[in-house]
Amino acid sequence: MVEAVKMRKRRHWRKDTIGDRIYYIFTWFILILLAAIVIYPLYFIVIASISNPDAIFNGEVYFYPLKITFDGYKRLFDEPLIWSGYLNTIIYTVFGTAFNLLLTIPAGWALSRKNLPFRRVITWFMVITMFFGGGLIPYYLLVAKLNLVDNPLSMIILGGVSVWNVFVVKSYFTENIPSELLEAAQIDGCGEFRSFWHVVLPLAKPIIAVMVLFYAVGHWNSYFDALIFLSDEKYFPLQLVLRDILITAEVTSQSGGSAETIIEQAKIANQIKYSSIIVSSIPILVFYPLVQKFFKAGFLVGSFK
Amino acid sequence: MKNKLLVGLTALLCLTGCQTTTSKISIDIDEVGYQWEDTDAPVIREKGAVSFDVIAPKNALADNYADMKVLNDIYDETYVKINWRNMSETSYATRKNLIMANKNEHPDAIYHAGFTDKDIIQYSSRKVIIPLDPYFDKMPNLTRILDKRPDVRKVLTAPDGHIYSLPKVEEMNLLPYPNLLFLNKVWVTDLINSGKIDFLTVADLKDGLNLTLEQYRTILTHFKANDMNGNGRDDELPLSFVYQNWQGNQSDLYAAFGIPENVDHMTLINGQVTFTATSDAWKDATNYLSGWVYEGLIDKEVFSHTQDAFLAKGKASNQRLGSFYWWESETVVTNPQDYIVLNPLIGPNGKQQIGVANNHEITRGEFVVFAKAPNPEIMLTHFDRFYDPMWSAQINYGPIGIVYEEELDANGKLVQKEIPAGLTADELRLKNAPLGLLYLSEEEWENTVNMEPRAVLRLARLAKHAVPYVIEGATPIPNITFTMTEINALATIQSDVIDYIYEQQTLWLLNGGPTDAQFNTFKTTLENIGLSQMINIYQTAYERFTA
Repeated sequence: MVEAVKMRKRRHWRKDTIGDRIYYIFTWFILILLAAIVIYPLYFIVIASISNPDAIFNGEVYFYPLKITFDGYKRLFDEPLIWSGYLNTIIYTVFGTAFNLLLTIPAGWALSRKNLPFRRVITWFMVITMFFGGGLIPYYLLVAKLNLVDNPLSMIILGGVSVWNVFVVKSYFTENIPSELLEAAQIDGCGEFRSFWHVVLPLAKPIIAVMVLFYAVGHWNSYFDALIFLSDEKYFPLQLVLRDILITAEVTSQSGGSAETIIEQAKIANQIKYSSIIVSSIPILVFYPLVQKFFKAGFLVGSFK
Repeated sequence: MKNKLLVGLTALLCLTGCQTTTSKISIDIDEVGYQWEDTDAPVIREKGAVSFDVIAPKNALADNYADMKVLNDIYDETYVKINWRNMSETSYATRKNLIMANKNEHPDAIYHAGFTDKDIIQYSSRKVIIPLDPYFDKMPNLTRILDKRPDVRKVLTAPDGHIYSLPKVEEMNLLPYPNLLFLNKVWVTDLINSGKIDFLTVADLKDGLNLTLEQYRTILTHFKANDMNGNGRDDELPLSFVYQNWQGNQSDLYAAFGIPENVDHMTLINGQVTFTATSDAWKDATNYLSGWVYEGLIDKEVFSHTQDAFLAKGKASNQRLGSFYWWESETVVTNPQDYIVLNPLIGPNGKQQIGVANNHEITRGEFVVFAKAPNPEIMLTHFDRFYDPMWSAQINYGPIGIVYEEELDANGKLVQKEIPAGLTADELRLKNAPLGLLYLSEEEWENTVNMEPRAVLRLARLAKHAVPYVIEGATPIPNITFTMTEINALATIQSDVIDYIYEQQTLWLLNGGPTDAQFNTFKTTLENIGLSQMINIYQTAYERFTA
């Protein structure tokens, strides 16, 4: 049996013309090259995270780590703020995403129903916010009026709905839930809520997964709201903690650092630059494959055919 | 479902809505036993009876100010409670305007406020921040300093004659001289021994060596041509620095041509604001140095690399730096013992000269008080203690008990404690010292606290290899104040001038220097941008400052 397969393969190979072979070799070459272009930077971050920062700056690190040191990781893990930041980010991401879904999925569903009153007005109302914003200062004043400044709830509540995502959800529902299905459900005695809960939601798994991914990655990577609304370090998300350690050199002179302290900080920043990338992206890397199968299906659906 | 949702939302709204801020009212200062005359006694009778909200951006490596020993020690002395609201420096930089825009959120004061002249004029005219000079009679330490140092008072005074911010003064007299030239003596010894260089002997290779530009160029050429570090690769960098950086920059190379150059291209000569980049000597220097860049004697990356990248170059497995500009060799290279400090290079006209940089050791805008603060005099008397030499030293370097020993030495100076294992001196300092409001000058270095060893080393080197060579009459432009009209004019002109020069200078250095025609166009363009107007503004402001 094995022999037979081998035979067939060999025969197949022999049947290839020279042109075919060149074609295959060429294709393989390009594919490998493309893969290398994608993989190398990621690989570089991994080896750079355990190399001496000076060696990296001098361009001595290419394919394997040099003067291996785990100082970057050690320093990173010694920093208590990293851990509280991690915990905060997880909390903001989990609850923030849950809050987002709570608003986005029903909103998308409602907008996809033709019997929604004032549907056009509501749609326009939402579209307007996609193109026009009030600006940073009014935004800040509004949030301050809501007493959300220096309040970790702001990390969960703000940006609760992304209009873009609502439309993605809406178009998924429009295309995938035929109104006949709902009629059938209503004949069987479902009210609006029950049919949403028991009929629509089970069919919406792919789009929910996509939304989870979109929102969760957004929460995970966001720092700007935290930057302007939070001052207490114990509420800082991970990205902001890392940012504070990494981006210091330019502003230090302003609040009274001296030449030495600036250099010292730059040194620390260089040490943890790469290890912090790894530490902060591992959860996303773990999480991604889990939703990826939905992601492909849902993403095509949402692509506004 | 609907009900659950409603309940959830209501709960959320309640949670967010339940925080209210109570506005404070002034209290009777006699009732709390306020006093300011005795600078060792508490400011008020009962500990914590009066408190103030102060926003303070802090360094990422620093502890929270609420936990900082030195600040708590001061609280133990004055009894005035400061509720510190820390935020990170980056966050503050983004939020400063937002905080100012939101009246309800105004604190009583901002520490490390980083207020520009424009901020001060703007917010004082809107009565958001208050003048502090009416309270100076309740600030004995600061008053003592300002009486002794009228120049500090001048730096602080706004165009309307009032003082709106408190200063930071850390004078070591280092900042005007940000460059020293270091040369790899091991490499030069090799060149002498192999007979490639005949104008020097090995015995000459010690600190304070005098070289002409041409001799120096010869050495660099050999650095370039030979495999000096013996690793078989052409990776030697004959001369490196960081172009237009505030220290370790190209200025001294230009100064060899007799120009009082610094990165601003602007300095004072006998009280006259002098612009360097339009002089013929500047053109000649650019032409000459572009040759060095072309031949690879100057590391081409000086134009693009950051300070960090430059510092890393000195730490390669095989030493790559033949020569470099920096304040000290210890920060740059792993083998500082192999480098000697050169005196400034002797220029084509036979003169050995350098300019001075306009870096300021007296800064204003460090601390501002808001109009809503009740009893600002109590707060200001509290912060006045920061200017006591003993406290200033601790604010700057860290507290007694962590950084300094409890006991003073025989001269009454603070004694540095041993640094705990695993920390560098800078880390310990950043963690424990808030920096900010302080006054450390000549007298304090003599009587209260020792300078850091590095600063002492630098000063000794600068005194020998830099200060004696400063072009006669050249002084830094002090931290002068501008009026609003001047600020607005400068805002448009100055950045255009700086950008245009930067663009042209870089282009010329990289691609060959300017022809006479190009240089004339350069001067005309600068004139059209408003160079004379800019110089006039500086001159007027300077004269107002000295008046």
